Amino acid sequence: MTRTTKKGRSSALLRRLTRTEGGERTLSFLAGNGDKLLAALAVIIAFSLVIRVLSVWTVPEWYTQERNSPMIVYGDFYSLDKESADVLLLGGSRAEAAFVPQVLYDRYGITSCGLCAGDQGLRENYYWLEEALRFQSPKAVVLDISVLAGAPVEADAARKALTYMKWSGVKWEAVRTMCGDPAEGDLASWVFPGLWFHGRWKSLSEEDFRSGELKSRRGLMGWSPRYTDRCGEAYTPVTVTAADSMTEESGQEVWLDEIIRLCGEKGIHLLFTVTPASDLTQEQHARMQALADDRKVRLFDFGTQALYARIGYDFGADQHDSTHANADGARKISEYLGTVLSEDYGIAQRQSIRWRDTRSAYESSVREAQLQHAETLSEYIPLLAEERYDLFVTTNGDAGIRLSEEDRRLLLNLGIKVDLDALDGRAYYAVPGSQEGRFEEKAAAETGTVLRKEGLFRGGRSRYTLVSVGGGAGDVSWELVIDGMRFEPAGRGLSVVVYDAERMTIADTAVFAPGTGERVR
Amino acid sequence: MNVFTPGFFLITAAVAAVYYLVPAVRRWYVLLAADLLFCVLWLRDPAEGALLHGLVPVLLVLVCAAVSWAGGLLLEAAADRGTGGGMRGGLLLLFSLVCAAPVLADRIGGLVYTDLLHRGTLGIIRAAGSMYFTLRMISYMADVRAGMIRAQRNPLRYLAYALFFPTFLQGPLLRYWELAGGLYEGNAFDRRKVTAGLQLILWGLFLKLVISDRAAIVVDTVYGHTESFMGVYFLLAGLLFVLQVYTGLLGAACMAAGTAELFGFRFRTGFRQPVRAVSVKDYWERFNGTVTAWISDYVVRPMERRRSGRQDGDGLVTWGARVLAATMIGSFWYTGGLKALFLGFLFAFYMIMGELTADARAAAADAIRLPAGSFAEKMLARANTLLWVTIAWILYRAPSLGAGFGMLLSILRDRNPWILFGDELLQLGIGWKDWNILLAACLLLLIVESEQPRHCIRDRILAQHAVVRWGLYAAGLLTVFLFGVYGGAI
Repeated sequence: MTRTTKKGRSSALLRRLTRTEGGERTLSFLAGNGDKLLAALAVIIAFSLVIRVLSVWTVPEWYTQERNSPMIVYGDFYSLDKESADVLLLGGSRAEAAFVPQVLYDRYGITSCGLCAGDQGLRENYYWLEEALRFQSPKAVVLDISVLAGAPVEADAARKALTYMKWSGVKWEAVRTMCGDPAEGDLASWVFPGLWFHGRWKSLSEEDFRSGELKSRRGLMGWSPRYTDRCGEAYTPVTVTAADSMTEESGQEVWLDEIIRLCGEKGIHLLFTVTPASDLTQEQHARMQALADDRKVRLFDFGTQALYARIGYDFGADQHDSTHANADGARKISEYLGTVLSEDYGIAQRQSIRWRDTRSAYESSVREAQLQHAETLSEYIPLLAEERYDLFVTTNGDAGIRLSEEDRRLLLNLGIKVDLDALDGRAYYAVPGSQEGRFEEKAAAETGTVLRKEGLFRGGRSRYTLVSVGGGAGDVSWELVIDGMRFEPAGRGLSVVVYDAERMTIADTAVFAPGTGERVR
Repeated sequence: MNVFTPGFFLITAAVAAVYYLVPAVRRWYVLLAADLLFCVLWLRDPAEGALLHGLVPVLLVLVCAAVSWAGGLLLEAAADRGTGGGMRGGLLLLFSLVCAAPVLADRIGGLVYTDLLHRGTLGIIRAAGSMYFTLRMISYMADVRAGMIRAQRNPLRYLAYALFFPTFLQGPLLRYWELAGGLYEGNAFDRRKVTAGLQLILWGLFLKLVISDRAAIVVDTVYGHTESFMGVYFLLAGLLFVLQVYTGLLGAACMAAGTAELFGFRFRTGFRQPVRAVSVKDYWERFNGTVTAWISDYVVRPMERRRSGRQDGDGLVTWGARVLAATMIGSFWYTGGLKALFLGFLFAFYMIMGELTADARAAAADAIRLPAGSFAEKMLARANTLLWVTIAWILYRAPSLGAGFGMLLSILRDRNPWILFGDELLQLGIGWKDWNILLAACLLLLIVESEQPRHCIRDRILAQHAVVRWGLYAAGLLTVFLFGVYGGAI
């Protein structure tokens, strides 16, 4: 007896089916309507393609650090070589502001990468950890658990955190978890993300239209610096006792346990942190300590008295706002973490071109953060020597400023040729030039006059109008409007507005008093 | 899942493909399978962990369908045996009450528990209480009793009618004789019908997602914080609520009719441009006409027939009582609750007042030399109708009747028309871009509503060159995709 092959069985089944009345009709229908069916198929495919293309177009593409860009944070991660990062840094916006991979590398030779994003909950952190383990074999994971004390993660924040993950079993699992809650969207909105993001046409920005050009931009390995302002708030570090601990659960503990389980399975050291923040109560600090103790995970709570003092933290000077560290604060926290990781967990030094290449970008960011703290024009000028800056220098009233020889040399290096010392109350401006040379400069011939200027910069992408006022010009006051954003004078003197072309925003504004050159604001 | 989700479209597309691939006489099996699938998807309570608990509403629906099927057979048998009309009427009432039990339990339960005792009602009952499904079963039994149709002997065939998924949740309300032919014999593939169905679906999506849901944002903002608004805000929110309700219901009906058309069934949506209504009675008939017609056929006319001997004697009072019964039953049947009863009462009051003041209004029109049937007279009548209808909807949407009357008083008393010219409108949940879209969409709706009675717009589109046709489809699709209110807020 011959064995029937699989192909033979299929053919027999097909013959049997086609012998039935229904089968014959179906075949005859297919034969008679083949062209129509093909047309229908073509329409369905075209329709799906259109939706797919629209979906790709409408998904937000944020390439500047100004917006806690997931495109940069996750883009940096995916651009790493396999097995190149020894430490992964996880958490929400507090962590992305406080963890500086460059400090860990420069001081301790530790290669690390941040996978934090604003409002990223522990669930999203868990899936990003799983995703990271597909590419990296870290020896340690640092997780900021401040998110346990915050409000529940909003659907949009979760979407922002996971949309940019590459499709794999990990993302599929994450999506399945999220689809359990109707508020977080259905499966279709993940496959066709445009169904979720379609409303973005109302807020399209330059980045959306330049994404092809900006795509290659790299960031700071997950650090999202907070440049501006020292919050100046008073803060009293807490002293935690077990009695203070709250019993209320945030609902995210299950994901905390999942992270612990995953790290345990892979033999990864897990560290918890809490960054200083004035919105955390004594009870919340105690609760997070209790959670860590229960799970036998070391917690580094930088808001507690002992650690706060040890790293020399000054809340007023080292915080950008009540919850996020600024560049100085981030450096202090990261230096301490580097010590712990290298000394307590034996994370060895590594040499890496990838981390070495981001050093200049980091240093540039630190210089930008220092802009607002420069007290005199002499301190300020050296910080302006960045390719990415477009400068607007104008006078408001009397602006005769006594300059040292070194200041003159630095200004000349920047491209400012007019002798600011000799203005003697005349109106003056220096704006980004359209041709060679960095500035287009003009000084009024006499005092009491007003100079007006309008033009384009950044290759025609931005527009400005400017009014420079000399001494004795009456009620007219200095004014600068860039892309619709108006800057008012903070006092008489020499005004400098620094536009960061990479972040597409104003990096700093300063007014220097006549005579002394001291900063008015 | 509802009819506005991608899942519904994907499943419907798959069902349509299979429907046309199987032999015509077996196509109703495909529809029945789809009916049951959607029934489970729509009615199953996902909050219930155990599958069987979640399926209780589905089982309840199947029981009601079985009762109505058996009821049809019994009523036919009774007619064949020559049983008296009273007996058959009693049987019809009994079976109808059983079939309507979930809806009645939900509506009356809602009135008692929610409005009077301020407690929640059973979700199971609410899920099983599909108004259209229930009315469909009752009309079937009534038609069998009247001898207009023969009872369906095959329970599965009957189930395919009773659960017909395109119109299961949101109408239009279909009679057995409208559906049975195509349903059991199988409709042939007709490219024009399928295309026209897709057009109607697109229009439904536009009405619901672009207009209704956008208007709802403003309405919810104002009605959710009545203490923070006054005067013109309430008038604006009231008008937008009228728009929201109309476009929401019409959008759903278009979706249903369009989906049915994919399978070769062509039905009316039941909405006949209520904005063109010249009286409240006219508005009532134009607004969801299939339900109004059902109430007229199965509630009002039987009452008229029974009372025909005395009609000359009791005149307007009897007519008024019938109108009151019809509007209150209709309104209560829709949503239940005290406010629905009041809404029905108000519409009846409007209609009766319209009848009482007809002569006075005609005299007034004569006095100002406004010719009957002239454009000006129609516009005046339409504006008058819109005014009264808006008042009714404001009272219905308000958090309570007391709050509703307070809002009406505020419209009369508090004058703040400047909000229409300042930036205040931008504080109502939508920005200037959304306001522009809403206005543009309303303009398009107005044009379509004006043109539709003269020419069937869908047929006109189908008659265009392929480039124009596909350009319109692409523009429509893009409009709904980009400007629809759904998805996230990033």
